[in-house]
Amino acid sequence: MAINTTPYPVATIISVAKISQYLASVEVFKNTAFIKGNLDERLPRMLYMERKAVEWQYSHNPIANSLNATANYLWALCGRFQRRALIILGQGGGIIIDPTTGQPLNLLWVTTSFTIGESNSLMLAGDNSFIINRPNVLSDSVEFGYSGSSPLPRTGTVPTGQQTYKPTYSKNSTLIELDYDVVGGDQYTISYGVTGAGSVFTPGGGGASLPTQAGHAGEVLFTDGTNPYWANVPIYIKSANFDQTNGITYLNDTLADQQFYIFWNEGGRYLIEDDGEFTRIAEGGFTVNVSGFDARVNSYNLFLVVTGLNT
Amino acid sequence: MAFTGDFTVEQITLSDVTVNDTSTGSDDTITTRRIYFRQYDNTTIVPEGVTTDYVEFPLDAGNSILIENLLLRDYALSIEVVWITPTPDPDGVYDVTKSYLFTYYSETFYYGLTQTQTSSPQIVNDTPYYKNKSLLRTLIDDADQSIRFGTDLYSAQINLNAAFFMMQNQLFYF
Repeated sequence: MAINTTPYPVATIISVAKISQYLASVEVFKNTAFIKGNLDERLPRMLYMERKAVEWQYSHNPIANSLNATANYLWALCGRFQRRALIILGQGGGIIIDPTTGQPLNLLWVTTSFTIGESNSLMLAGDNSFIINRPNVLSDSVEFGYSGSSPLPRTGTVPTGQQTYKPTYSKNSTLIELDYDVVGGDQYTISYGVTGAGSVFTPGGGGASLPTQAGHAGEVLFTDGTNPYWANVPIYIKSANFDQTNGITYLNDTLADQQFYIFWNEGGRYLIEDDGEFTRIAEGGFTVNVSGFDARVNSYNLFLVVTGLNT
Repeated sequence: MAFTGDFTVEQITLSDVTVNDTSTGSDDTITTRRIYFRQYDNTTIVPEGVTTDYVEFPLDAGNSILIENLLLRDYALSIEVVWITPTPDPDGVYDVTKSYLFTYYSETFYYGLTQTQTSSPQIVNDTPYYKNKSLLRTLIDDADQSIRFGTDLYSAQINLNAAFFMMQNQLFYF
């Protein structure tokens, strides 16, 4: 199994230990007061003592070999407070809690484990990405890492050279990209929050997350009411773009069920749909019905402006 | 601009320190610099072989000097740097004293205890062991706070001496 030297950078572990210390102090007090104590009351002091040792070594020799072991030891001491501390540090995953009830209402927390190379694995040995084919995964909720260990840090949150992952959320699926290739036999666990039916919570703020932006410079965001996508406004159409079998039909599936205006440059005017000068095609496109219009023999320039309204 | 002497000190290894001259202004009449390392009882420490009660910091050494084998244990020290000139500018500052705490020995030993715990985690359940480690931490922290908040060399050194005693007798404590 591939092993990280430390689950997080030593500086992060030190920060987590500082937060865990006060979380532990509160927990020990409540534990003692209400549950007669099942938490080692020395824990806050232990966290302080061991953190001071690691912090001192890190400040004097941050590349000391011994830091791996001592930082991991400190990390282990943080125990149940690791995740809460990471969230406080802004590096954790998790789901949204309704503050009025304190409950994850209408939300589902999903956890899946898999072993690379086994039949139900989400990845094969050598892969560095996989897709969660599940709609409504909450943005920023994914946690991914080796089973039995804390989640890996996300790409960009730690210096390069460490194993990280990058989740990309969309309405119907979530892409997980690792910055390394997985090894056969390694066991991973992925957890994420999903909105339930009728939930008022939706990923990405007001809808699905943005579609992939690469290759769509200058385009604007459209939606068909369910799926967002990038498209040009307006679309410049020349004779060559028409169906050359009839010279009057223009097909473009991004226009499916869209409303639009068409300006015909050579005619010096808009084509009026209500007057029957063009007919929209449900699968995307239109047919020009102006008498004598034939893109096979004439050179035309049309500008199509999508209104943003659906059918 | 009148000469204003200043300096910083950094512990590089267990026994070595670097003194950095961070003075501002200039004075061409300065001939040399002297560094005094004074303990709480006003006695000075110098590396073995140095016959004066100060360490010479010659001008041709530049702005930094490494002083080796100065610290043979942890110290709380009052460090004074004097810029020697026959004709000091009345508006200038030629004598600066600061307090420093050097805990490399204690912290290294303390870190070693944590290293021991990584391979023998059950040792924390040994009551004397962890109680004494906690005491050692307290002594180091007390020394630090004595200097940081009170510039109290005596209290700091007392704590360092107690920590030193624990390290010298580690078989009894750890």
